Amino acid sequence: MRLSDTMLGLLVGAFGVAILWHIASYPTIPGHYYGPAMFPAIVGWGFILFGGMLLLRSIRQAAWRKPLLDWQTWRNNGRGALAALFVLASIQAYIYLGDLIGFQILGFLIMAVLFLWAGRTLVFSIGLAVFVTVLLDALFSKLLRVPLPTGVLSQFWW
Amino acid sequence: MDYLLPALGMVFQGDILLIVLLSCLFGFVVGVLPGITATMAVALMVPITFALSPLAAIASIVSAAAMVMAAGDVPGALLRIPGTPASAAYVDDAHKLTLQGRAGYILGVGALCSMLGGVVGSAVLIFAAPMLANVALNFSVFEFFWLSVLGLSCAIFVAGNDPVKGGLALLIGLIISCVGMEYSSGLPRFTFGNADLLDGVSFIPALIGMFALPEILRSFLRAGKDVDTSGTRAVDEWKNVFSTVWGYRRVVMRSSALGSFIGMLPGASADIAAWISTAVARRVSRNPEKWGTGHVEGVIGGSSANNAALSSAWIPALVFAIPGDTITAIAIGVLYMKGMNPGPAVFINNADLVYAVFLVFLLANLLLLPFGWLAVRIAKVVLAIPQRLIMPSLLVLAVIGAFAINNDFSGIAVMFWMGVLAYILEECDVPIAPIVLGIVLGKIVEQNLMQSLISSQGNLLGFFERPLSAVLGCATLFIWCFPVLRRILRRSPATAAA
Repeated sequence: MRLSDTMLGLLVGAFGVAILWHIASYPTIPGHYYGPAMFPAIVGWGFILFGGMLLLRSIRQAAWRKPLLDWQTWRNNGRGALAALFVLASIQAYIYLGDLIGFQILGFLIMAVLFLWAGRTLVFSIGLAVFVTVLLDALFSKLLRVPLPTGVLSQFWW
Repeated sequence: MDYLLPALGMVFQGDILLIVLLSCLFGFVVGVLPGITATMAVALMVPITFALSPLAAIASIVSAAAMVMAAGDVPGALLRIPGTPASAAYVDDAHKLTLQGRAGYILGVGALCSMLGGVVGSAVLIFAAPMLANVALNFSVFEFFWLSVLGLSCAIFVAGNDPVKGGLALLIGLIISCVGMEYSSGLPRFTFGNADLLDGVSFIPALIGMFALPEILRSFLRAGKDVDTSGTRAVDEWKNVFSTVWGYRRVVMRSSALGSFIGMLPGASADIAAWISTAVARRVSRNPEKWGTGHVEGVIGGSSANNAALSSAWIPALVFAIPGDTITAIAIGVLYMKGMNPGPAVFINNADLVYAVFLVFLLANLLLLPFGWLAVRIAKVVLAIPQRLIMPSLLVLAVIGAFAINNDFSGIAVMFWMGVLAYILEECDVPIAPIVLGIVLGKIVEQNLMQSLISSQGNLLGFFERPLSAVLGCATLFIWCFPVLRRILRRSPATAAA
């Protein structure tokens, strides 16, 4: 997924304007020109400057004729795109279901599915996923004493 | 010297030595696997080091980073896939030697030169850092302001061949550093009512996201099969290794010195050190015609330089709290978390700890040689682990690590969004390293800027009043104006001729 320089320049410039607009409401220290808005303002102007340079460059090189968004790596590789989307969804699953279901089951499921996707047999995938899950859990919750949410397993987990 | 004995006592303890050894092993495996950079390895390791003592935590980072850098040569030599960007500089010659059936030889040369370079870099660190710290004790906020700005500016110019995109990356890092409560007034900035953001964007989850997630996504999106590891047999050839490296001892010394120097510059990393010193070795080589045909000189130059730079990059990190590269940026974060605040005072307040860290540097680099011996034997086994079995495990490790830093689901969210951002940016050829430097340096620059302005009552001339800050300020302004000046100078002869 690739944004063209034209698109990037436009987005970055707009982001700079948004920063300046947002910080306009920040309070100032009475009697001084500096305050909490000063540094973000410098960065905001920087975004406008660098976005402008990108745009200028792409106009000069006539690069604006290129497609604004290039989806080739995702569109031409349905299987890979599916796995990548699964990766993103699985991280979201940790955020929203981690407490409820538990890290161990989620980790096991995610790894087993991805191992299967890689073309491994069911037995191998489940076996390796169980092994890595137990290994990581032992490392964090036993050795390093980070309490990982166990969710539905909390009754049975070691 | 007064600190040497206590430091020795601190390092030579069972648990520290065990951690150094385990981190070396971790770094070795991770470095051998293609596509996992030293930064990613260190970022994934930080949550694990969290529970350790300060020395153990730093020791694990130092040893893992040194080992990843050295082990990155292995897949480069055997498969022509560099394990880390720093070993890409000399991958062609190393691989040609493998094709000639001399894989064991080139792995040995790589390991020995990595060790020598690392030891030279560590020696430079040990001697230069305390001396610089003595000078830096006289610095005021003005000098620190200019130094941090200088670090930021260097980060753009060395980040890649596109300074515009490098600058853009830096700005992204700077705006991320603004998130959270403002330092002088306590005003929450860019938090949009989210209480998790009041302390700013959590640094380690952000790093894990930026360095691990894009690589994981790309590994699934890459069409085709896993790499073919057949024909990667390595035969032991240690005797020739020592005589070869002795024959090229001047190249080793020059590259180590050059690597140490480049490593010291803020923003210039081991990757750049390897490229520059390979290029220099080629320019001054006695037989440049042999280069590219399986010549060992480039491997010697590059692999000693990148390990030298890795150690000396800690000089600006420890003395000025200005990271030399992404790994030291992480290390600075860990140092703060462990109460060992970097800066010139660290050599007074925590002197024994600092010297213990120095010893760990020497130890970790000396360990590169036995691990090199190991590499010759087990490289084939490690390389045979398919990437598509590694990446799902790394995904789960990344999520757990992002959670474990603060025991908080917001860490996973930070990791997710920073990872997506980094993936999109890398697809657009925007480098990631300046973002990390921006996040770390942004806070430092802003704090020094505000302090300076408050102490000079807003008078901008105050930034140039002290002689040292005037010099640093002029140097910074010169670097900023340099691209414009160069353009004007290049154009003027042409216009004069016309």
